[in-house]
Amino acid sequence: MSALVVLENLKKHFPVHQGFLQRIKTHVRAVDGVSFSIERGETVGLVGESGCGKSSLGRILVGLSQQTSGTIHFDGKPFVIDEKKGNFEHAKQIQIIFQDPFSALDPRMPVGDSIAEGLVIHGIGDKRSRRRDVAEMLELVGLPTSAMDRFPHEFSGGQRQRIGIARALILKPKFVVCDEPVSALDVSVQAQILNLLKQIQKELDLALLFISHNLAVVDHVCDKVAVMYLGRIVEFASRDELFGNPQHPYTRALLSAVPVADPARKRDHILLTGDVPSPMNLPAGCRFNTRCSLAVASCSTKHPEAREFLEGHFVECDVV
Amino acid sequence: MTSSTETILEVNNMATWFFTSSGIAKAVDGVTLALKKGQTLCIVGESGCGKSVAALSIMGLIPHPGKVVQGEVLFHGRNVLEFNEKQLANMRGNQISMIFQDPASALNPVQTVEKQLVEVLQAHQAMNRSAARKAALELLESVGIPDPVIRLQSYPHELSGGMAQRVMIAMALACEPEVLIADEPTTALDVTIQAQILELMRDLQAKKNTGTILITHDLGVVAEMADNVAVMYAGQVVEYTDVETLFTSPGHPYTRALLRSIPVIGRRQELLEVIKGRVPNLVNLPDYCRFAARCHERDDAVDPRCLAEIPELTATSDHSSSRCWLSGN
Repeated sequence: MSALVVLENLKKHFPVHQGFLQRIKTHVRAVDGVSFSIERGETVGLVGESGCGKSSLGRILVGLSQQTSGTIHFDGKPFVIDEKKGNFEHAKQIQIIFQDPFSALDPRMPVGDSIAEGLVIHGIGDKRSRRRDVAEMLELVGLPTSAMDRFPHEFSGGQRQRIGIARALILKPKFVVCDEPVSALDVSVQAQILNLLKQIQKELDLALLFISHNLAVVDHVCDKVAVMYLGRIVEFASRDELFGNPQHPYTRALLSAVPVADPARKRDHILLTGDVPSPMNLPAGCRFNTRCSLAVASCSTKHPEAREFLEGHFVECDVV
Repeated sequence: MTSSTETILEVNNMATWFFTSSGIAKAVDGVTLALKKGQTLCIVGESGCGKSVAALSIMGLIPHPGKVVQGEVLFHGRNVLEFNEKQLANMRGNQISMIFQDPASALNPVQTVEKQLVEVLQAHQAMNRSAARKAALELLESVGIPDPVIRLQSYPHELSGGMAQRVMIAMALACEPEVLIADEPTTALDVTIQAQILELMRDLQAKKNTGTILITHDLGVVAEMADNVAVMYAGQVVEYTDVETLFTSPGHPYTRALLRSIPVIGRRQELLEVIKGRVPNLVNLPDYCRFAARCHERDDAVDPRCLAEIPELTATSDHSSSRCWLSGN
C-alpha cells in the first residue's frame, strides 16, 4: 500500500513586489523542493526555526495556499481542492489545528456552531445529527457537552485548543496538520494537549504532520522527523535515528542548542554564528554553508543532493 | 558561578495587589527573594503566577490599578519602594536595568539604535555626545553584533529578533548596572538564537559580576543559567532552592509535577504527567494551600492541614525551603 501523503519536489515561491509599478522584484522561496511521504496512522514531525517555511508547507497541504510547482498525492490520487468545480473531497479528509487557540475561533459564534461548521459546509447531516456529532467530539476531547452553547471567551487556552481539535476532527479526516498546537500553552496544559493528541491519534488511526520548533515535544509525539532549513528538508529520519544519530550539521546544532532540564549535563553547545539568511536572498550552494562549522569550499558553489545515509535516513549534505 | 556572596538586592515579604472592579487580585502575595553579586536567580512559573509582576514591582513600574501594598525591596540597604520618581528614574537603567521579552516592541521604532543608546548613556552618565557615540559603538561590539558601525544607524524594524535582543541587552548594560532583570529574554527567539543570547548573558555576567534575576517558564533555561531558583505559584514562592537541588530533589509537589510534565529529549514515555485542574483565581484565593486542589500528593487522612491552613515557606535544608505541609513541617 502506498503512503497516505506523498510530496514531490514541492515549491512555494511568494513574489515580492517593489517600486512604483509594483513589478515583481524577486521571490521569497519559502518552500523550495520538498519531497517526503507520510504513512497512514503515522506522526511526522516538521521542525525548523521561524521563517524556514514549515508553516507555508503546512498550509499547502491543507489547501489554504497553492504550491508554485511540484505535486502532492493523497491516498494515491493527485491532491486537488477546486473551489470552482466544487471538488472538496480532499478538504474533508485533511484538516488543520492552528497554533493560537485565541484567534482560531470566531468569538461571536457558539463553540458548538464553530465545531459543526465543517459539517454544514460539506452538507453532512441535519441539525439534530450535527448536534449529536458535536457532542461526541466534545466528549472525545474531554470537554462537557454543555460547552457547545457557550462562547470561546468562556474557555481557557487549553480548553480552546481542545475545541480546535474537535473542530478539526469532526469531518473524520485521515490526515491532520498540527501547526504548533502547543506553543501558546503553559507547560502543564501542554502536557494535557499532547497526551490528548496521542490518544486520539491511536483511536482514530490518524496521520499527523506535527509542525513545531520544540524538539522535545517532537521527540515525544513523532514517529519520524523532518528538519527544515530555508525551504529545504535537510534531514529526514525516524525519531530514534534523528535524535540518536543526527547527521546534518544543522540538526546537530539545533539539538545541541536546546536547553536541557538537567544542570549536571555539561554544556557543550555547537553555537551557530549569525542569523538565518533571508529566504529572498539565498546563499549560493548549500543554504546552510554561511553558518556551518563543517563547510568546505565546494559547499558555497554546489547545492548538495539528498542521499540515503542509512535506510530511511536522508540527509542533504555532501560533507558528512 | 562566582564565590562572591554579597547580597545586593533583597525582597522582603513583598505583595502587589491589583484593585480591579471584580475584586482584589493578589498577583504577588508575600514574596521574599535575595540576589547575590555575580549570581543568577531564576524565577520560574506558569502564566499568571506573578513572576513578571514581581519584577515590575522591584523596578517601580506597576501600572494602575496595581499597588505594592506590603514589604520592602532593599538595594544597598535602601528601600526602593520608598523612592520618589526622581530617585527611581536615576536607579532604573543605571543601577538596576531590565530586559523585556519582546525586543521589537521594547525598542523605539522611530529612532535609530545609536540615538536610543546615546540617550541612555547621556541620561545617566556625564558624557558628551561624541563620547556617548563612541561608547554606543563599543556596546554593540560587546554584545556581538556584526557590522556595528552600520547597525548603529539601523532602525529596530531592520533588525532580526536575535539582533534586536542584543541591542536591548547592550542598552540594559550601558551603564554597567549592578542588577539586571531579564523577563523571558529568549522566549520570542529561535533555539539557536536563544543559545547565542544565553551564552552572551553568561559571558557578560562573568565579566561584569552583575547580579541577574532571570524570569522564565522554561526549566531547560533554568538548568543552564540559574544559581538559585524561586518557583512561583499563584503569587507566592512555593520553593526556593539552589539549582542542583531543584532538579535532583525538588521539595514542593508543584515543582515535582512541573518537572514530570515536560517532555525531555531521549526520555521515552507514553504519556506525560498532567497537573489536573487550573490555577486558582487570583481574586478569590483559598485560605489554605493554593496548590492543594491540584496536588497529587495531598492525602487529607494523613495531613488535614492542606485544606485548612496556608503553609509557610519553611527551610527543608541549608539552601532550600518549600511551602508545603508535607515537606518537613
